[in-house]
Amino acid sequence: MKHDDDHNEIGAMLRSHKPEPAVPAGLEARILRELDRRQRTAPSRRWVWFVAPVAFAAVVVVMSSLQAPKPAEGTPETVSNPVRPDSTPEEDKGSAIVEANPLKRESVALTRDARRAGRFLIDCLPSAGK
Amino acid sequence: MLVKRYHVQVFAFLMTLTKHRQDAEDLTQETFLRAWDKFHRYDPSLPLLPWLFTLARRLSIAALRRKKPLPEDIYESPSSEPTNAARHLWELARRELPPESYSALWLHYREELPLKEVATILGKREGAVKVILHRARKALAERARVSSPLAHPPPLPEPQGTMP
Repeated sequence: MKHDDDHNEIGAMLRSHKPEPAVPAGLEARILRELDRRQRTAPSRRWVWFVAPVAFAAVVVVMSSLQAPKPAEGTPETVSNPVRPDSTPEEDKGSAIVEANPLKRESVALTRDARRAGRFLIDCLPSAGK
Repeated sequence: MLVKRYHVQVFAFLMTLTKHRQDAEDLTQETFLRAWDKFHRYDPSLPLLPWLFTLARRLSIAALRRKKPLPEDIYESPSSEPTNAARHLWELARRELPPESYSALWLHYREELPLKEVATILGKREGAVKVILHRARKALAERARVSSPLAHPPPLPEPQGTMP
């Protein structure tokens, strides 16, 4: 049909001459300038991505060290004098032993009691040679 | 490299949509900035130019929604005589057709893109693009017929008088 021929002809004519657009002078330079500006600002943002994880890790380490458990309450605050096997109760009393550890206190008390009991038994025995 | 190679084509395509030089310039710059930001999403196995056209079209739609469209620029004065019929047709298309039809013509006949890619760029189905192109060619044919009487001389008047 004639109309279809016109339509196909139209397409052929459009293809036969391709118009060249009149691009404004300086458009390319303007775009490149803007891209360059954006590239220069981009690295600073990337730098944050490198620093942020390290900073976060440092914060975690500091927090964990601050929250580390304190030394147990039973540890001795002062250096205790070594207890001599033949020490008397008076000497024991005289010695300035301050035991913070309740277990240690208990063991010292038991040792003292055992020594006292032993002395008592020895005293109760008839003296040899009398 | 990308800008040097494609900025002319992107600008020309945006002119078909906006019909205003200043808007097309701004949108061309915006297109390449957007391409720079979104380059990680570009599939290298596909051609680059249609991707740029798609970005350009989306930006032009967003820009048109934001502001009131300005009056169209006029490239040439209407009285200037085109040197050939093809150039006349392109001029008619630019003046008479709506932006969507003109941009479809531009992409298919000027950029030689296949219908499938034209459809992707314009956000339409291939069948819809065929219809748009058919109607655009038909409209151009009619306008060309009207505007160029020498090309299609009017029919001779019927002889007067009755036959015996």
